[in-house]
Amino acid sequence: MRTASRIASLVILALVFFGQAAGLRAQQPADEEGRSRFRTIDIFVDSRSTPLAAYQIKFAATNGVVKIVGIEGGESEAFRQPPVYDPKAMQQDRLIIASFSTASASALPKGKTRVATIHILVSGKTEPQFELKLQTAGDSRGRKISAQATFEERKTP
Amino acid sequence: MTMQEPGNQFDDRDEALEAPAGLVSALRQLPCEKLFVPPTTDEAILRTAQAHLRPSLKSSRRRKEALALDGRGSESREYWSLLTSAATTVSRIFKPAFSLGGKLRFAAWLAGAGAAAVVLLLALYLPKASTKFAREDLNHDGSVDILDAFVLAKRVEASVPADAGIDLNGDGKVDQRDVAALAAQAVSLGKGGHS
Repeated sequence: MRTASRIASLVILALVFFGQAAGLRAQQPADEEGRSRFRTIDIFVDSRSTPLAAYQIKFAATNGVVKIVGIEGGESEAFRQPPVYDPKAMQQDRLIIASFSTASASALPKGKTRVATIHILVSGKTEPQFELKLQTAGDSRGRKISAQATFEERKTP
Repeated sequence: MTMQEPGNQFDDRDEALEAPAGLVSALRQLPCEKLFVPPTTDEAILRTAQAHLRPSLKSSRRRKEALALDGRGSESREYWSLLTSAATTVSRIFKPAFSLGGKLRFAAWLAGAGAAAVVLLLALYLPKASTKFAREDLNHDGSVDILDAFVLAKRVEASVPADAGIDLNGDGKVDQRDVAALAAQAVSLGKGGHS
């Protein structure tokens, strides 16, 4: 009788243990799927030979797995300060950034220059997709200029 | 029971028609009863009629706007009516001359054609001249963006006498705060940021 009860309790213990282990194994992929990670996106404007005095860019993540969490200024002194953006864009997946400098043409960047950096939070395994549109760019006299906007994801944030 | 009453103009075929007794008695009672229509019912009918007529008013307005040369709403309508009245005036002025003969008639025709040409030129020129921009659109490029903030910043830096129209925050002076307000408007997600 005593032996039978021992066996029964051992069986129960074994069932409880394996049950927990199975539960853990089942939860593991879900945790991985729900994992979030930070990414850093550098925004560039190439104004070729014209000094860049102002830009306005629309940035959007298109597949709904991204939240914008931070915005930094660019590399040149003219655009070192963070660009202007709508505070409502934080925690969303799209924003418009813009900045200008009234410095003289000689102090403005030419060619391809990093004008801003956007920090994002990506959730899930899906790779984010982005859209970038240069809405306007101007020279030191406020005239519209032809330029190109691009983005690059930074390898080491 | 037949529907025909003595002296009616129904023919024989109508005489054969019979209506239910209840309906007949109800119809007979109708003229005797004074019907009271509550004002709310009247209002409801009026509202329904207005709602029914509104689409046709809108479509006629749209037609007029489509006729306008640049489709700029009230400006175009005013401009179009001005053009129409000018054409009418020209035709009235030259109408007596057309009744003359020979060279006078040709001269009148020439003068009329010249006046029409002038009206046409005005028609082409006036819309561009009278185009109004948003007060924030300082560079008049048709959109409010960071370049307008840049223009304003330059003006503020150069201490150019400020236009009261660009005192965006309404504090009585044009300064860097207005520049910031304009830049914020340019990147606003609410309006798409780029008008």
